[in-house]
Amino acid sequence: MKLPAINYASPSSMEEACDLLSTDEDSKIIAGGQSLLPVMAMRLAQPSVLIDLAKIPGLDAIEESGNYMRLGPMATHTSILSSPVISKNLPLMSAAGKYIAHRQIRNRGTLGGSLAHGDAAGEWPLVLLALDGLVEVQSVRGKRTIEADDLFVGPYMTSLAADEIITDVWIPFRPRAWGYGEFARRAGDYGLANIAVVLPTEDTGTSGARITVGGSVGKIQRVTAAEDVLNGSEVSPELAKQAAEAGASELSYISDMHGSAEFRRGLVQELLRRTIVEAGERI
Amino acid sequence: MTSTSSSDRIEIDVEINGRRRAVVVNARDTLADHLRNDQKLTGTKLGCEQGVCGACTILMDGAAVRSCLTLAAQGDGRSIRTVEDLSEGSSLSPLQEAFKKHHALQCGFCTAGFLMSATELLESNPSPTRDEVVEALSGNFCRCTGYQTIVAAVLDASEQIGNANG
Repeated sequence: MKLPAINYASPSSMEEACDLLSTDEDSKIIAGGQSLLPVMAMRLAQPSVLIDLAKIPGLDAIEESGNYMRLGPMATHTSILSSPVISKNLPLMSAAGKYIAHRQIRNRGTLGGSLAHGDAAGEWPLVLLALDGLVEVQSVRGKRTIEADDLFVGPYMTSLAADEIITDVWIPFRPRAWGYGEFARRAGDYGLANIAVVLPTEDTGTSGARITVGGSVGKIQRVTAAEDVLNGSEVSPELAKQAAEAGASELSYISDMHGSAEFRRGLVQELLRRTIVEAGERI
Repeated sequence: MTSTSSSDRIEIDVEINGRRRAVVVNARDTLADHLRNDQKLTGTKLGCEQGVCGACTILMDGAAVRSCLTLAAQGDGRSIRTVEDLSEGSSLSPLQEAFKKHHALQCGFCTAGFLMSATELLESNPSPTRDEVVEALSGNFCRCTGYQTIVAAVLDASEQIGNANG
């Protein structure tokens, strides 16, 4: 279908964008538009005004800053995938990003859009949570920081307030072993199950395992039962199997035309096992 | 602070197939709508209008994008290339010739999208492997050919272009 009637604005600063967003509660930010425009074409959303971030300078940064990578919300999937500093510091991002849709979508779609959209099958939310990242957000009321652990609250639901805009994405990099697994029936489709595994190595210091799951479980979340099995022990194929079983039992699954809950549980369990083994081999 | 206001009619300055145009577009129009209805460039086809089929693929600043998932207003300041840009007059480009030679189309509805996706690939990677061609074309649907002839055409075109460039 054609898009519903809308107004459009293209502010040149984040302050202006925040002003516009706060004055009309039915207005919406557009970044790459690769999820928002289909939703509008299907008439599932009809914002009054689209506020485009494209003309605000500096929002597509990808750079090292101390022990963090700082990424701008308008960095496209393609620019992240072709970034040498990302593949050096955050290889999990490079591995996961390849699964995002198709080239034409990756050329337009953005990191900030994906995080704010909060699709349970989205690769970037899953990775941000696994890598213990955070986002900085801004509104007319000021700025604040949201840890990834507090950002994804449900299907297509984040803890961003309606008037807040993501201005920066921070992801710490330090030696960590990682694995990524995703299953879709066709390449480029939304994953039926996505798993990211991050394990501490000898050099990592404090943190424990972080395992995240998306797709079949309705919202991006950590698999704490699997993390608990792995923490404090050396990863072996047998332990990976135990962790996968514990993790898969802890989760609840959606059931629809793409797969029953039972099928999805089996899928998640096997994908968990394989991805933990993959990460274990990188320790 | 200057204040930006929103409108349902947007002035844009866009380069289309090498010509700069200052136009006013509807806020709700996609770039595909604008190209087809206002610019009368009907080579770009609209299939699903929700970013699934790839028929509307065009190049924006050299990158293949879905023109049904890009607002016309977002074309401001950008350089757009459509399938009409590929040939010179009635002389087909090597890629188009290869499509003809390999029977890489039947009904032709998807062809403009495939040509633009393949153009981005060949311009960034002149000698792609078969896997790279398949990956680059994976976002385009064809319901006639079964894809094999399209892949063969793109691989052949990359050889022809390579030979022509010595």
